[in-house]
Amino acid sequence: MSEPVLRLVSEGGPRSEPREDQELLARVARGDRAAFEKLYGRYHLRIGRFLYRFTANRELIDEIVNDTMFTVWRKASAFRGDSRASTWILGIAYRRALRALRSASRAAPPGTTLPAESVEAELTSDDLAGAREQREWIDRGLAELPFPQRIVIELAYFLGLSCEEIAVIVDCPVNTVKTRMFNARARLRPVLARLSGAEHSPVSPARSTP
Amino acid sequence: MTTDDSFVASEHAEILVDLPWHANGTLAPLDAARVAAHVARCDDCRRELDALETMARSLRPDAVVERSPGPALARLTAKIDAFEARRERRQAVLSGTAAFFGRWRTLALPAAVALQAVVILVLVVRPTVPLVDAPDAPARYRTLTDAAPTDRVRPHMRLVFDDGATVAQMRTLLELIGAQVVAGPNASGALTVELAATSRADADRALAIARAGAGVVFAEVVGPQSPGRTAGVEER
Repeated sequence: MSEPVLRLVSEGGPRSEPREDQELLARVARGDRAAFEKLYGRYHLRIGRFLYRFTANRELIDEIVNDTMFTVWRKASAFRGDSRASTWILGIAYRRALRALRSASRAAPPGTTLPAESVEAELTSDDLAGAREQREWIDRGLAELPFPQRIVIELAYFLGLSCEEIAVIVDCPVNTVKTRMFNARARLRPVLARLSGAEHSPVSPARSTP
Repeated sequence: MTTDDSFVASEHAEILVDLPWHANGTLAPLDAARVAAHVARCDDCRRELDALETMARSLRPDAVVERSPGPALARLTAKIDAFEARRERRQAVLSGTAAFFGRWRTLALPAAVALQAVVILVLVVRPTVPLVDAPDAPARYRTLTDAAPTDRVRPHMRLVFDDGATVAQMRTLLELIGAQVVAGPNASGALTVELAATSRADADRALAIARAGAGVVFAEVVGPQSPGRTAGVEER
């Protein structure tokens, strides 16, 4: 088996949703292979990187990405534009990932999911060490969360999705997403307190709604 | 608690719920402005927002080294090729079946119309045949000792059309050979037609035309014009 080809990738911010995705999806619905390959390139990166938060098994990640994109190829004509193209595709990926991760039980143990290839070239060595420590701290906190709460945080901060988009992807009401986020923050209180430099987190169930 | 206090507490609770979405920049502009205004005067919320923004920055993917999608894409492309090949085969079978049934439908309708036309013709022709012979009418049977009749009725022909023959084809053929339907179709689907021909040569020519006609699967002259092929007993 040949060594995987590595490349350096840099994307825009999380809100830089390419409108081109919708056009590519429309072309895929007409059987356009070139459009599909372009879409695949984008989502192999995006979904793969996201899944790497949950498993270090590259083969499993490729399998989930390919299952997702195979569904995209077959069902592209069913996309009606009710949501953004990315939301539609990520919703498929979420369902595939849930099933694959559960059945394979190959999720990496907590603390082993940090991508080893992360490049933080702008940071000094001290900053880099601090950033890594901070990220490990956050990852350990996230790993302790129930999956429904963790996935909300990951989708919100790793993929930068809105509350409404997350509701579509995980197929639940918007208020449920808000509640899960709120409960996740309550569980992450020590982490958040450390990040804010305070002893106690201001998130108090007595002062909040959902 | 005063009314002002409860309003502030209510607003604080609402802002707390919105803070995570303010931190990742996905709030609608009006909501974002409301959160920003509250955070400016609420230390608790400002600290919470700082923590959430730090977490967002920490989790946000920066430039990373990623594997090329090439090998995985190649595997998926092969899977799609196989899928498309199966789909094309399935569509070919489906369209073939549809064409078969479509052709069957197009043939069945004219055949039914033709059959109806024949039945109507028979019903129209039948009443002209007297149910009871007149007292002085010649006998309608022959014996072996009878002389050959001199005023023989015109020769008849048996015709069988295939299922695809149209009414127009049938009508054209009958006009070409100068014939009209007098009986049938029988159990074999054969029509009996009476030829206008009065000579054997004309009957043979009509037979040749009939056999070459579109949609004709069987044509044969019956009666005295075709000696040796039938017993010479005609049916009416």
